[in-house]
Amino acid sequence: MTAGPRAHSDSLRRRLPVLIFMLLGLLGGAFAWLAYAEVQRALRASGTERLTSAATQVADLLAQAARARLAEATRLANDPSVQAALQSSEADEAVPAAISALTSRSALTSVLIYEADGRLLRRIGAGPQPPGVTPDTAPPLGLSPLVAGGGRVWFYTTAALEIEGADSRLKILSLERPTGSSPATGLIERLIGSGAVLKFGNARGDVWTDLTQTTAAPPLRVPGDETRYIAEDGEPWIGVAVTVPDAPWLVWVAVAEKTMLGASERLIRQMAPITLGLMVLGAFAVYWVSGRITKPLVSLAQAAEAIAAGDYSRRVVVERRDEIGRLGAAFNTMADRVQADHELLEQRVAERTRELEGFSHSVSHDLRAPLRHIVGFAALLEKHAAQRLDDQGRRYLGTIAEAARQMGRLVDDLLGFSRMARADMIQANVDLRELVREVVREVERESPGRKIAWTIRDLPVVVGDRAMLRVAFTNLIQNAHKYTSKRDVAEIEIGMAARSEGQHVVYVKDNGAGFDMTYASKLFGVFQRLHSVEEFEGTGIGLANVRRIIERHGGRTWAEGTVDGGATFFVTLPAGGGAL
Amino acid sequence: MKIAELRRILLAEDSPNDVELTLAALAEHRLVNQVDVVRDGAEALDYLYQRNAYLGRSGGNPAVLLLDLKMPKVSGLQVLEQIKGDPALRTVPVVMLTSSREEADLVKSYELGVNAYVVKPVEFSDFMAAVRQLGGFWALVNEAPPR
Repeated sequence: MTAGPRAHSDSLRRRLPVLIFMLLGLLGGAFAWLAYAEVQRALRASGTERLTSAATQVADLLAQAARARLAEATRLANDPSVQAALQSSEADEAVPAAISALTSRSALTSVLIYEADGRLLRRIGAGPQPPGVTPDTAPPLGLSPLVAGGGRVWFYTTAALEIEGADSRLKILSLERPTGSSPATGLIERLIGSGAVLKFGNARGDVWTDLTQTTAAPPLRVPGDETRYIAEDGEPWIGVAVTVPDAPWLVWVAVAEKTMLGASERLIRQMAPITLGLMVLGAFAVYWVSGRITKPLVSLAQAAEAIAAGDYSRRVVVERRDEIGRLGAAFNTMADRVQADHELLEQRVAERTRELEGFSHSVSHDLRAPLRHIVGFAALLEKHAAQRLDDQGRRYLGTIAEAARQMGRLVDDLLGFSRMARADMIQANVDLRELVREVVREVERESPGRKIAWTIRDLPVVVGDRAMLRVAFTNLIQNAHKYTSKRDVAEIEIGMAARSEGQHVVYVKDNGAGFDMTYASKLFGVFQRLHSVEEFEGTGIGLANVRRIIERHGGRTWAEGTVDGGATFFVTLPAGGGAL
Repeated sequence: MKIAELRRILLAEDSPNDVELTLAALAEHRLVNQVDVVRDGAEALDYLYQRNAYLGRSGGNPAVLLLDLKMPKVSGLQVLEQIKGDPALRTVPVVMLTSSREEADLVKSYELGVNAYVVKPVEFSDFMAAVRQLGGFWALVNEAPPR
């Protein structure tokens, strides 16, 4: 048998762990990705919340400060000493003096006084003059939008001046710069973390500052919503704007996304080795589990192959009670049945063979005896009564004896044929080249004087029973020899036609009487003849024997020929040469 | 050589035709008067053991037993087995005469110690020659074992 291990890539034992491992890897990957996405989402939400709350706190601080400034402005506007100073002739000196007496704040730079219709009445410098920021018309009462100028950002606190006895209403304006106060920056860092950016500007978007100098307006959308944008450093940032209560200002707090989501990156870095470790463990577990699943299947497959190869006693060991165990038990039951059936069949074949042997024994004895008697008594009669018989009588006697002899030959051939079917085969490598030469020598010896051109081509080594193959080739070659007997020069060729699927095709070709292809199917039948006995002697058992022998070797037989154009007989035999 | 001194030839054969043909062949050697014929195995054993119908027959063991293989009652092989298993008869030469070419019979006969095994030829002249030679050899040429 050549049932070696087939390509292992087909093995379930190998594919199952790979499949399960890939599935596990896929699941693990998906789970890690989902976890990462969820953590990012949560981090983004909480980060945005922290940004918003920080911005709100800053906005509240600013609003608180602005309210204090506004209260201060109102207080100054209504203070009698300030009003008196405004109305004095020496207002430029008197007003700052009066104001500085009432307030300690040095941030105040100028005081502007407008007419009720908004015309600038006078400007009283209380600090450095900001270039070109003084509004020509009066700002609205309360807090003004921010104004940029001289690299700084300014705003006005406006209150109504109501001086008794004066001809019209006046206004007092304080001009103050918002400072980049370190408490605010510190607060932001505490609330959000380092790297956060705080901006402060007009809600209408024209003037913005980072509390030390003017800056570009942030890419804000609606106050309260987060905004993701690409900052100057090329990284994505996330910012939130919050309205300062009671003021036309917004506070903007932004932080790099990397900073906000830094925790998720750390999570991935921590999860990766854990996941990998789990997958390695999983791989071992999967290998073990699939081994447990496939091991009984492998032994089942081996047992099935053993039974297929003829070892009917082979069984599998059933250790489990699950489906695989049931499969094994069912397999064993089936194998029991197969074995029982096989044994029954063997027994029946043996019985039939014994019957056949008995039959052929009887045929051999009981059919031959009367034939012998016919021939014997015909001979005795001839001897006894030769004188009294005329020529015709003697011819009759000869015919009777000859007919009995012919039947004797038929009986012998039939017995030989049935023996060929029953005989045990001894398998071996048989060199056909040697065997055919042997047969040819023998056939030639039996007919000296005939002119035969033999052609023996290269012949293979086949597997078979040497004695049986010798009978088969003797029949084929004797046939060729017989049916070329009417040729001046007989041509007989023995060769190899082809080899396919482990079978050699060997042919015996002659230039003899040939046959009509119409009757080709009858050639190999028992006692079938396409020529009369007068033409070519024989019982017609030879080719039937050839077919039986070749079929017992698992081969096929067929013939090609034309009337008077020679015949070619083909047989296939299993290729040999290997160890048996 | 007087006829009376010659030992008998025993022919065990159930077929009258074969008996007649065999006798015709033996007649060629003028041996026919020495031949005793039995028709089955049981009779053959009776003859050899000088019992039943052959109680008190004259003469001792035959010079040769021509034994047909296939006979009613007791077969040729059984007779052969009996003879070769009995020290008193073991020395009687037994020639198996049979129609059968069955190899199994041949093997069995030689295992049992047959002295010769002859397949009766269909051709009468061959049959004649075979029987003649057998009768001549065993009855005339062969030196029989001491009585």
